[in-house]
Amino acid sequence: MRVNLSGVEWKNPVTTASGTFGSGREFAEFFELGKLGAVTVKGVSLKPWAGNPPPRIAETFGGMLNSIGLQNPGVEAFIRDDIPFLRGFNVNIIVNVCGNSIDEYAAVIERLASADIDMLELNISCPNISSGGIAFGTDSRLTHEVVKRCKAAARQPLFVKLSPNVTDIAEIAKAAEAGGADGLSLINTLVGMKIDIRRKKPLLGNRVGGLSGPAIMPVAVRAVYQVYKAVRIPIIGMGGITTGSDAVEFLMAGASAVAVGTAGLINPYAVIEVIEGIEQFMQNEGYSNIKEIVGCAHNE
Amino acid sequence: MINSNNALILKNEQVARDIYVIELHIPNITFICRAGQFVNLYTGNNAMLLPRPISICRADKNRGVIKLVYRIAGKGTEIISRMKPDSLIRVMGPLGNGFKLEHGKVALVGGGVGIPPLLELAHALRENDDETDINVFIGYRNNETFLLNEFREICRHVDIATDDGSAGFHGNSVDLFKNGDTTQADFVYACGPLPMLKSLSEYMRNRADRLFLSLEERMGCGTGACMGCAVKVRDGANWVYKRVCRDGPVFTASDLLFDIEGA
Repeated sequence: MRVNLSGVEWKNPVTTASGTFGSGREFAEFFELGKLGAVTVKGVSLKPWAGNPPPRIAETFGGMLNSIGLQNPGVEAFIRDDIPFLRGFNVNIIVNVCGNSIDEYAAVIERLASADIDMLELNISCPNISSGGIAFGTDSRLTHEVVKRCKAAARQPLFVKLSPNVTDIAEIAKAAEAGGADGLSLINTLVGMKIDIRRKKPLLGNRVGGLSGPAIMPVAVRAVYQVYKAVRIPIIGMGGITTGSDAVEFLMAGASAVAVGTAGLINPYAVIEVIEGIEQFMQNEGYSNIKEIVGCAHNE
Repeated sequence: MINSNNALILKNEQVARDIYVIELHIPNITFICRAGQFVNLYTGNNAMLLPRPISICRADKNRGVIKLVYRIAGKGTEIISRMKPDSLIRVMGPLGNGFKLEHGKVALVGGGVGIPPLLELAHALRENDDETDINVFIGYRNNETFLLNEFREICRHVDIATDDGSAGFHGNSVDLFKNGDTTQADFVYACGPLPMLKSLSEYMRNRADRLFLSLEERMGCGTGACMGCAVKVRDGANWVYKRVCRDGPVFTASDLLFDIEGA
């Protein structure tokens, strides 16, 4: 089950999707965090971010919309409170980094250069903030620019989380690779809306939100498949994974590892069930190494 | 310790229009829960993934049974209302922080499905101190006065209001409380719709530090991970969003800002 992503050893190919796992405290009540390949924490910005007005959550068919808006206490509080907590477990720490400008992204990454973490995930794909975020991830020139600047500041491997809300995700992926990304995380949420028909207006306080959950999985698998063909850097696949077989689809499409998000909000053990499900699949099908599965759907 | 497992449904019955009582055999939650905490119920339907957070109405620690009273608010609770006794439902809890138990003269003010958690609170206050003078002011839509007898069994003073005037005071629970609270209570606990809590907070603005409100909000996970259920809470001269599920659901009225959409 071991995988190596950009020089970082994972005990299995499963992490948590940023924003669905906090910094792991809530989940540590349910299972030993050391069972995970990595913990990917909620987006960290330079200064504290208040987040968006409520309501922030809407249920949709087979999924959910959220418009949290990256509420977080800022990088200083993260370094002070969360890294020591997570270092209490034998697990890789991936820090999702968000910002409103290239300078802000770079400043967070510079601040984290001396921090005891394993990987960085650059969030240029959040649909819930007014400036920055998705604006970088939907323009290949800006993607290249922000990744290049962040890579220069980074002391840990830098993964870049991409948005599916683009005409051609492979083009953005190539721009990130050219900018120096060590890997890619895909996908972030799809921009969506729900109308409250009683109040005759959008239900979410922010009007739009990010769609996640099983409903988006085919879009995510397609994105991984497409990007795998376009780049040489490793991919962490995510978007609606609930079971081991869902995860295997992503691996076969070309992901070297996967992340479990929304499913974990509904069933805190989901991420553990996914690890066990992959293991079971490998045993049943006679695989001994994850590498044998990664990208195998392309050998048809 | 939060538990997540299947519970056996012992009873699931309608008690008023759109209002149901469900009893679940789930000892590990029942033994540790406190008044004011809630549980997540799951529909088991893959199209409706999110939990339905429901406050605990009564915990029978001898039998390991919790009682919940819920309103059909949409398709998810409608599915739950059709679940049969002897079948299983997935439950997570107990979640959130309970009410802080005070002494002296206390008032419990509840409206609609805000009434149920006050029953467990009344029991907890009583068990904590037999001297506590518990005064209950609860408002219903009409004369389908669910849980009323159970309040009367343990509280000397129970006043009711109905929106349509078919029983008790014609009006809402806040007006009922204003009329009845002539010798002011030392502490007031309230649960109900946001406009009700807001109006009660305005009425008690000079003693808002003695008013404890149990809030509702659309939730994602219920455990604090997703940051979905935000409420504005004072933070010095500024404010921050706190999580209703993890930091609440009970807040002191003097800490809240109440400019939430829909309030």
